[in-house]
Amino acid sequence: MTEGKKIPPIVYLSYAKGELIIKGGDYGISIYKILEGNVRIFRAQGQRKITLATLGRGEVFGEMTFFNFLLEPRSASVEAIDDVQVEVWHPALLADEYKKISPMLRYVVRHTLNRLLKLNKLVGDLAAERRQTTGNLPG
Amino acid sequence: MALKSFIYGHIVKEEVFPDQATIIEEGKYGDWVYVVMEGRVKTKKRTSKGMFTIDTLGEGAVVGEVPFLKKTDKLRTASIIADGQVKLGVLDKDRLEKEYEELSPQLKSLIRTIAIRLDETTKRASLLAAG
Repeated sequence: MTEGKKIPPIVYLSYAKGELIIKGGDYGISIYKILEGNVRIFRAQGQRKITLATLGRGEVFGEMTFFNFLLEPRSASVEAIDDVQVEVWHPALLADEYKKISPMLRYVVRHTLNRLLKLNKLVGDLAAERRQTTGNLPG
Repeated sequence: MALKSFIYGHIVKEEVFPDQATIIEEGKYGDWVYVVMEGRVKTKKRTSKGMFTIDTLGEGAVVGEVPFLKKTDKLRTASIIADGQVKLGVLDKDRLEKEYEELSPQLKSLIRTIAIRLDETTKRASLLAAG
């Protein structure tokens, strides 16, 4: 599939509890798969951290940048909840394959992604609306 | 806006639904994937305060793909309701499945992640909307 091409290897990294793995706003490109431990995905709003999700073993993060063709900065930050071990994939490992997948499957994936981006915005708007009406921070 | 030509080759059946018909029901079993050929649909989610409309999707939109891509269970994560008369194309699931299965484990888990996130974000939106 990739003869003659230099494919970046998969690397393994460890993070201690509380350590930042991805910083929102940065131009990071790696994709991470959790081998051990748990992480928190959050968005910083002033001094507050709004938790978007917590992920555990076997789950993947950093994927949005890949599907945005590395043109957008990281949309959220990720920190280690406990001691975390991850497998790190370089996007070049997957970019060629993604380009070659069938137009129909890519169309389905693209649509799912577009709906997710639209919905992320809706969630942000709804959360802001709720903060204004109740003064409480959801989630 | 016409559908992209390659999509027609993947449609195995066309189905027409009247206004307000439930095309997919949240919580039911199924992983057929559809493309909106004509008309519009609404995606809705049950909340403690009734049904919440998450999105309105028109021609060319793909619906029902979340359980197909997630591969954990085949439970429908939201309802799809006809918004006016709508014509849907049912996609060739076996062919799509084969293409999906042929991907590397890494790319597959990346795509799966998108579907899981869409499911989670949909839940979150409906919870926020219900207050």
